Amino acid sequence: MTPISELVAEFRVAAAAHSMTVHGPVTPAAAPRTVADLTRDRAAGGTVARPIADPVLDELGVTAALGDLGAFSARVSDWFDALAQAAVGVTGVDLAIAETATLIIRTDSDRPRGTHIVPTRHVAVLPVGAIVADLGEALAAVQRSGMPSNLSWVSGPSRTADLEMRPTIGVHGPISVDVILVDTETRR
Amino acid sequence: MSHGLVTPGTTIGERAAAAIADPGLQRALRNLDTRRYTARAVADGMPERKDRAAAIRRETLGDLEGWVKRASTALSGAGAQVHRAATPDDVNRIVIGIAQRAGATRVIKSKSMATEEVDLVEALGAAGIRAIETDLGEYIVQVADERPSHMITPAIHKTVDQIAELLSRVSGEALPADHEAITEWARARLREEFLLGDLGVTGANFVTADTGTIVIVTNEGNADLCTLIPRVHIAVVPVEKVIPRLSDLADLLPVLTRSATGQDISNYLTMVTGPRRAGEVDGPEELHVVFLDHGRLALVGTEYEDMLACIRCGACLNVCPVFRRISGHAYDAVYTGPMGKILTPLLSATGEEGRELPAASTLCGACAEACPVEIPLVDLLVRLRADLRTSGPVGQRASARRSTAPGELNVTPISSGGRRPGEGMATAANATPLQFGRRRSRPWSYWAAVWSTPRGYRVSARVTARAASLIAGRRAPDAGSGAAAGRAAAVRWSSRAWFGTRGWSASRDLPLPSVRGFRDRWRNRKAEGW
Repeated sequence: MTPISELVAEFRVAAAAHSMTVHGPVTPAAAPRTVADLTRDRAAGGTVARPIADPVLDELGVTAALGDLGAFSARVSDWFDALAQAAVGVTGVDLAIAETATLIIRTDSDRPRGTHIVPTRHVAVLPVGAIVADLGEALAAVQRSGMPSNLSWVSGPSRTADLEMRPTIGVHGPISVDVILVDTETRR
Repeated sequence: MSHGLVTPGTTIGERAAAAIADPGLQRALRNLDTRRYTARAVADGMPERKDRAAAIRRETLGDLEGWVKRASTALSGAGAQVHRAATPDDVNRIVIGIAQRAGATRVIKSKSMATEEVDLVEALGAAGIRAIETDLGEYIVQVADERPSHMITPAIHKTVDQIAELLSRVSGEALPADHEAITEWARARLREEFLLGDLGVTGANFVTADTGTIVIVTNEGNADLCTLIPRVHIAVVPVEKVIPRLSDLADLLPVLTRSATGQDISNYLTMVTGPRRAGEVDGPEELHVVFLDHGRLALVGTEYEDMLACIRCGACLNVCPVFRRISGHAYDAVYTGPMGKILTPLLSATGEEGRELPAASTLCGACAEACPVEIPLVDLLVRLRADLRTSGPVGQRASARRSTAPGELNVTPISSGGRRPGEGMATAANATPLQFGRRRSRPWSYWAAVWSTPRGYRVSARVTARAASLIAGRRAPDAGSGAAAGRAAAVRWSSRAWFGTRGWSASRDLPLPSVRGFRDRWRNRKAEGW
């Protein structure tokens, strides 16, 4: 099995190639503060969307920290309108691929589809133990845990090359993707 | 249905000439250069994955109907409603029916060649349902009332100046010819559509038969948005998109994205398994999958079935010396470039669409070499040329069956039937000398003797050029004179068929000889500024 440190190193290289910004790894204790500071910075006064509940964010205490920022979830009545106005969407990530710096985001009743794709920026919190080596391992892990109604695989910001093949960012979804790595002992 | 062509004309020859004479188009096409070596990177960088991808794409072909049934069972099990459409009209009828039952009036679409194939947006429009393409390139060609010219980058035929001018008309204010500014404007414009859409229509890159999952590859993230807000999601899926297993994606996805754009994975990847589940707050309440046949199942078991392995990566377009000069609109078809030249006539129910396309090839083999799933495109082109000599749909003919008995009408493949790219081509490395009959006959011996000396070759070239221009009745403009050279530099043999050669000449062009041949031009290369 590949040591986690190697997976993190590989993830870092791939993320840079995919125009994603990687922070940390930070300790679990420092995670709420780091996420809140970065989110506040990225939101620049705008609103913040979060999942209703998320195993990664809840366990690290990030959900509570986001609450202090006034982050809203799909519990609000006008979820889509609020989401469309949001500056940042924060998600936890419980499966990622080192080779391609891919974040695999599962939908369930607590984790709506729209949290990461609609707001202007995406901030993702990734425990290093959730990183697997490659696509094959990720697909096996996805299938083992049962197919959700929606899986969104994120490997960079919303991008197009439809204008003279010159890449531009932010055509529909996030204009930036920040990944905060958190040092965790356990592997998925 | 009619769409505007940036390169008008009634034949591919005329449209190609218009393309070559269009400096704006030629400038825009240069942008394809960045995609020229993506296929090579796949062949060199992941040969095992490529071979496995090719094998996976063949796995379903033995029993395509069975695999579609298996996928349908899995899709239904996940809560999707599965529909089967034999024809493009069937797809449109089914989609319009679903839209009307759901009371949907605003459709948001992500890019899908299948919906282009059936002209879904036009059909919806005729039924009073407004459909908006959300992929930026598709949106641009929709505003221009054109077809995509390239399946991966639909607006590759336009420069940013042309796009700015076009979208300024929609915006009502002058947009600068700036990539970032146009992207930002499109984001705001299409956001309005996303929020109002009540029906999302997508294609699918793959549908897995084991988990019933619809897999959609985008960089823009627009498939995520099309399957987020609308109450209903319809995926239009050609039958050959079914793959056996979710785990097959480990080979198929990297091969697809690397071939298409050189990326190791696309920025977004959407996997839909059934509609919104109990307790979920977004996503479609209804999910429909419309499997499109349109002649595909009839290709199974024929000499053309390899074409069903195609994953629509566009690699064959990017390397094609013809496509790179004439662009997609010259083909006047939904599918363009090398794969389009084959698929268009194969999908034609009457055998009339795209009849002339297989001839628009140099048979250089770059496409077959680029194909990541190892479709022998050159062999198929040669076969099609032969099969199109007679009228009617090609796919269903006895001659196209793999089990053709010796002596029946069928062309002998150039190669000995090998299916790996490269092998089908008469390259210097693997070509066997052409054999005319058992023994070289006398005329060929004379020809060989003449061409064995430089002087003999020069004289024969001059005589041939003179003879050909006599037959044609005129000469082509100087090959060196740029745009003029592209203009109708060929005549149809059919109008000049002499000595009972009509059978051979009916489908072939006689290129006019240049005023000055290569040797003349080479001698004067300094003066011409080579």
